[in-house]
Amino acid sequence: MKIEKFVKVFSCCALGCLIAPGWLTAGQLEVTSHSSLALYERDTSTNKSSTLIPFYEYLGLNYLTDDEALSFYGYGWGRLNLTDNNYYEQKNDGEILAGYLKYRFDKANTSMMLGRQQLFSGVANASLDGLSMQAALGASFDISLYGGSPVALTEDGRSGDSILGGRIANYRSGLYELGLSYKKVRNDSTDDDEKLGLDISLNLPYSIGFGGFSSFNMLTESWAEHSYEMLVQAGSFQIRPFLQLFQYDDYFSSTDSPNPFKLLATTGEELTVIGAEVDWFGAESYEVNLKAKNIDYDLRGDSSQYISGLVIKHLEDLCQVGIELGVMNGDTSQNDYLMGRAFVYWTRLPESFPVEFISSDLILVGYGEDIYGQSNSTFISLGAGKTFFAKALALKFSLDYSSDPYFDNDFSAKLVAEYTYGKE
Amino acid sequence: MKFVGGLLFLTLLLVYACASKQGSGYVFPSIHPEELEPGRPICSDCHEENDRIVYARFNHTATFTDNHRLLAYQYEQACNMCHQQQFCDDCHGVRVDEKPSQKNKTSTFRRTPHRGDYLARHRIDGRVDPTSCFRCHGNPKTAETCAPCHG
Repeated sequence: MKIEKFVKVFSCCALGCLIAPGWLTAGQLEVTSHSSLALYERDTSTNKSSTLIPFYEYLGLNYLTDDEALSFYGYGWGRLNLTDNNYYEQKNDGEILAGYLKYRFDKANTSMMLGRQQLFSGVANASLDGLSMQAALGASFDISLYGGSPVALTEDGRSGDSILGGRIANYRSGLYELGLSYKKVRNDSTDDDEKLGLDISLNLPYSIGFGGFSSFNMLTESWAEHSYEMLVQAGSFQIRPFLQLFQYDDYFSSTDSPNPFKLLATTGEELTVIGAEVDWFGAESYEVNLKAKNIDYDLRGDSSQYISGLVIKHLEDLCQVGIELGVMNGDTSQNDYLMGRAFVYWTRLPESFPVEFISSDLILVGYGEDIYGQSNSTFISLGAGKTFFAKALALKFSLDYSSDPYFDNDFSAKLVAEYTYGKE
Repeated sequence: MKFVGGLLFLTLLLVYACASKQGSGYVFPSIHPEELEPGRPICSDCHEENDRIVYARFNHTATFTDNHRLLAYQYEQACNMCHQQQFCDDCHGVRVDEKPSQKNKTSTFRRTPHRGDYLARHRIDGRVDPTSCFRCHGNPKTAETCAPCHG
């Protein structure tokens, strides 16, 4: 059913484009297509090592009128399983991720969006079918409001489901921004989630920035989260200390929380993460990143530490080569691991090469305690690609090998075709 | 009734906002005014400290994918200047079948999470800090990938 819905919606969009050529020529249309065909083996409930050949299509449509006031955006994916097995719960599947009309008013930084949209605004990180708007109120205030039906809660029917909220911000350029946000979600006519958020950004002297976010759970009447970070720039160094505090009973407490998070909401645990990151943008386009954080548990009375280092050599475009090393020192040996990664995305190839880029990824991990009898894992990915028709079409191929606690000598291959119509 | 009241409030707000054009403050452009070179942007190379937002926090360092959450909550409009909604939806869409690292296998420069052995490693990361999982897998739709094992 879902794939049919997906096809119907995008067929309607395509038909609308075809029957309204006059309308189209008055604006800018961009259609993006990402098609892929993968090949790999998985155990199913009836067979071992069944061959899977899923075909995925991600289709995006973006239309903007010449005056840039009105736009339509649609995006979704569909999957067809080309083999006859029961690996997927639904053989064919799909989802409309977004489909909205947006009107941007000529005045006051004001816009309205109607349809399915993804919101990031203060305490809101949600997908909704509904209406949202944002506007400037005078010279130092911004406001955004939204309301509709939450897409994430549709599994048990949409009756009695709603989401509404907004954010108001006061700012002074170069000095500060202070935001107050609110979100209320109802599921089957009962309150599912209600949070109040406070966010802040400060532009301090000596190239120091400060920002963060707190959320207050209005149903449990306690703070759920405090997350703050500072940014210090000193020459070619960038230093980012950060602090995060979470109270599980208030952070995971939504009545619709899925497993395994639902169980955590009754533990009374409090988590404190404190750490820092240092970036160095050195000579010869090198970037070095060092990160360390301590994760402390109030009830468990123990802590874990994660330390990582990353070195990347950047060349033009996205051409780069890098290595990364990460160590997790868990509160128990069960939570220890050592991870090493080396990666390449290389575009500086001789013209005689049949491809424009090659990519590779190598990830090696050793675990503190065996997982399903395995003490380590290996992952290797090799890829290559080439563009055609003034870069409107890109073909990419990748071959992966994995040996880990879940998959023993697992090979997979993938062919991707990306096409963009209308991109200038 | 609440819906009608909300709609009325929205309309009034819109009228007020439009009428207050003269006093408008900083307006985020819908598209970044200058075309950027491909590659990771270091925003503070061009943006000064007296801008509305601290652009240095937007510097796309090697670990920016790990750390952009707070910025998106506060300045979604700034993200939208360079990234179309589609870019965000690939990871944050309400239900995406493929992991971002599976969809873009050759984009090794993206440093997408969940690469390689992550199915095994998530057991550890999930025990160490489950809040990082909840942000993306905290509702019934996005948790569909968790359900086969976690119920």
